[in-house]
Amino acid sequence: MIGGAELRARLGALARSRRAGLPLDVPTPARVEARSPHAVGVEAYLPGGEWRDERGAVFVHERLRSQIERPRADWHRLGVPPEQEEGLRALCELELARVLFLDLETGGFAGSPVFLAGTMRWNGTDFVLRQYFARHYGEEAALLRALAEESRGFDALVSFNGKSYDVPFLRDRARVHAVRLTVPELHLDLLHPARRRWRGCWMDCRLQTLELHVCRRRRTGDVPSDEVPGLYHDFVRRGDPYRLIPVFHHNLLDVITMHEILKALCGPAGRDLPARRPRLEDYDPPSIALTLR
Amino acid sequence: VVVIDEMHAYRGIFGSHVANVLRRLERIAGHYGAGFSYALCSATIRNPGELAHGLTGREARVVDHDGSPRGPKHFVFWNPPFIDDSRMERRSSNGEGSRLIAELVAHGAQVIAFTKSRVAAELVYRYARENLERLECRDADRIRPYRGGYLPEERRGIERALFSGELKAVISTNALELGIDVGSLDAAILIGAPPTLASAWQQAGRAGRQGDPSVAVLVAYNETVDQYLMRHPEYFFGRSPEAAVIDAENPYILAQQLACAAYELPLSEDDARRFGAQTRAVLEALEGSGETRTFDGRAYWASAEFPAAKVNLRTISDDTYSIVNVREGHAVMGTVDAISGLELVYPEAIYLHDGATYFVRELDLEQKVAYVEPREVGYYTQPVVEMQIRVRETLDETRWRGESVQLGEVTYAWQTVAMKKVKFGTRESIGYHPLTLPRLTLDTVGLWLAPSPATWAEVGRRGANPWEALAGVRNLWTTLLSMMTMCDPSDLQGVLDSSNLGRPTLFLFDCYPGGLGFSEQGYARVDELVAAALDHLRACPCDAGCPSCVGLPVLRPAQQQDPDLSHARAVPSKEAARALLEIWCPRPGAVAR
Repeated sequence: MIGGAELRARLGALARSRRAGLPLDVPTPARVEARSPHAVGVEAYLPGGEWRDERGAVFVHERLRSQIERPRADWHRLGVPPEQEEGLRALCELELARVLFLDLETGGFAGSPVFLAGTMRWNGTDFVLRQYFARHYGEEAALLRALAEESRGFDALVSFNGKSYDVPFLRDRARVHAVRLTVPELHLDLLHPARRRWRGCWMDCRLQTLELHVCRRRRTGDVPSDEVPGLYHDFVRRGDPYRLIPVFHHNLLDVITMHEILKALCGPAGRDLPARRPRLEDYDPPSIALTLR
Repeated sequence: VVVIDEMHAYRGIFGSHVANVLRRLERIAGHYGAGFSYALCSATIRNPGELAHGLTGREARVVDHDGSPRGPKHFVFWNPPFIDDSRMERRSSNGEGSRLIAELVAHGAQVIAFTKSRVAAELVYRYARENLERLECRDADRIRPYRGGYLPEERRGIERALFSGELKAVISTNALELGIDVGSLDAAILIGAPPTLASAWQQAGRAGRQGDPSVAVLVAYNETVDQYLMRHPEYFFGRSPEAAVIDAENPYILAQQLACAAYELPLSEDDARRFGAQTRAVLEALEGSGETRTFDGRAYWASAEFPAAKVNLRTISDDTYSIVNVREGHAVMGTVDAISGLELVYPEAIYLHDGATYFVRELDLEQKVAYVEPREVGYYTQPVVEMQIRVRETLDETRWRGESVQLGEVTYAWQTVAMKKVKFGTRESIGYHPLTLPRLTLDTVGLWLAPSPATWAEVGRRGANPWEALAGVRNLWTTLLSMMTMCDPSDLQGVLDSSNLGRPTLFLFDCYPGGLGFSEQGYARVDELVAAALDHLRACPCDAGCPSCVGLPVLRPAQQQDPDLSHARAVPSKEAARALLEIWCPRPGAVAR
């Protein structure tokens, strides 16, 4: 049964006042006006603007990676991937500026909306991080159109588990909204080469495990992935951005970490492998945090 | 084309849900630019066009011309004779039925028999086989029982063998009534009257091939409805079969379905046309309680949960127990749904399968497995089930004609508390065993009314038995409330109980967890319910009461009970029910419209 006591009470009133077979003869209550989700928006905390077309708008937050962490001179140098990793090799033959990194945050199970699409691209001197955010369910279509527009300019896509999750999810949602969405033909899903390289080294091959061991970085103030959908629905319901901000952070770090993993995979094997199973206290990884303005 | 077979099965709560599922399907198909038409097939019901319209929301054209060649059909009503001059007990109906099957098979006829419960199917099979062996019939091993709970491959095998003619008789539950082509047979034996006329005609219709004469026999149990039919065959032949009714706009059902629809695609103004006049009001309720959120006139599902996982289209449980034979390498030999399981495979029960007896060594409630082993015994077992109703909370109360009528949350509970061992053939009881098994509960919404002591005394003063009066009113209300709320009579249940209020109380409740508003409507419309009951009683042409008025309109479907052990109880007195109703509604002929 869907809903709690409040819904039951409302339906009970309907049931009691109803004459079966006849149209309901009670005055229709005034339509509940949705509180504007823009009232206490995310704009105040995350600088950005609107992407807009004739059918709608979506919020876009953009920043440079150098605003988040100290830039490194070798960011754009990927190295030489191992012989047998064809996907990696194909990617490394491209210019880095032709590659789009992508990570989605969604409202739950298949069939629920995509509300945040985080992308990252190389502009020749720095990485540009861009997050498309649907401030409410009605903006999902615009999010997809905006993302479609951005992804058109790239030759390759990099994701983590995107072949099983992000891209099919995106295709599904694009079909629902009749948005023409083409993802670059070359899609490198880092999960698979990561498994080949590091299987058995750590407890699993999840992104955050790799982040800890390969990138040697620990997150602060992160949200667990399984709490993300609920936080979004709460935000839409109540319009309170405080609890949603960490989700942007989470998504941003996921995208950045993908790049780190890609670099590690292209580097020589072995250096990153532990002599024994490392313990956390073996090193004190620097933490990375999103600063609010 | 979307084909909906056995359309008549989609009635009541189940049908109301399915009607909305079809609207959802059409809506999604429409979103992607696809359209379809419907073809619906039904058993004989009173209102096929109306039901098709209700289910699909479209105009339907009824094709009811039966062009198949049809021979004469003899319909025999067979009441087992009394055992002795005391005229109390009748010969076993299972025994009579099995003799009929054996004689027909011995004379070369192919027979299908329908029983009212799984245990009855097994028993009749055993007895029929014994009879055939006694007759030294060479087809003695060409008969089989058939019922739900057999493994699919076993069922398919029996269906094929019946169709090909390899089997001469199958003794089935209503599991063979629908959807399965068994060909046409020479004779159909109905052991016990099915719960509806529609299903009686469906079962009888299994006999009759290609213009040849056929026979259908209804063997009566010594039980209320069956005995009434034996006395009044005109009731059986004179009435048109039941109507199948749905209410796709029940607010509770619609709320569940609209939530699922909103998840699939946001709901807009257009959808009010598709889902009916209640749509807007129900959407307000969903919006107001935060289940959906509306932006730019479109309502979206507003939670991370998957709504369809929380909606149960049927009222029955999907959980099953496996029945495992420990002597055959722990192979699963059958299954039973979790609710019936506690009435079928409780520890030390005799589980009947293909006519053979298996002893239940253990019932693992956690893993939902019953461990059985073959054991030759001369008895079968019957559960003793205790039922109870408890008021959890009163939601509302009203004074009405000097009575207090209440609406509230109730828990209906039932529990197998003991088992009875019954000897094959003679039906002698050879002992009881207490059992400790979990209680099953239904938390729902009900209404209740306990006639005041003054009313109770007044019924007596008018020369009627107040208990019978209350029982008659309960039955009338169950039927009439189901008509008022457009549910199936089996979606409601009525019980009499004195333990909650300390005096006899009539309870009527929704057979659906959490309730679906049927009792709520009854509560809001007690006046109409009483007036309609009185009207109905007066209009019924019977003398003293019949299954259509004060009789038992719905029997609790007791899948695991042998109806052969029941005793006919009189239909509650029509006069008593009328006396009570007239105390409440004194103006003659006053009918609320």
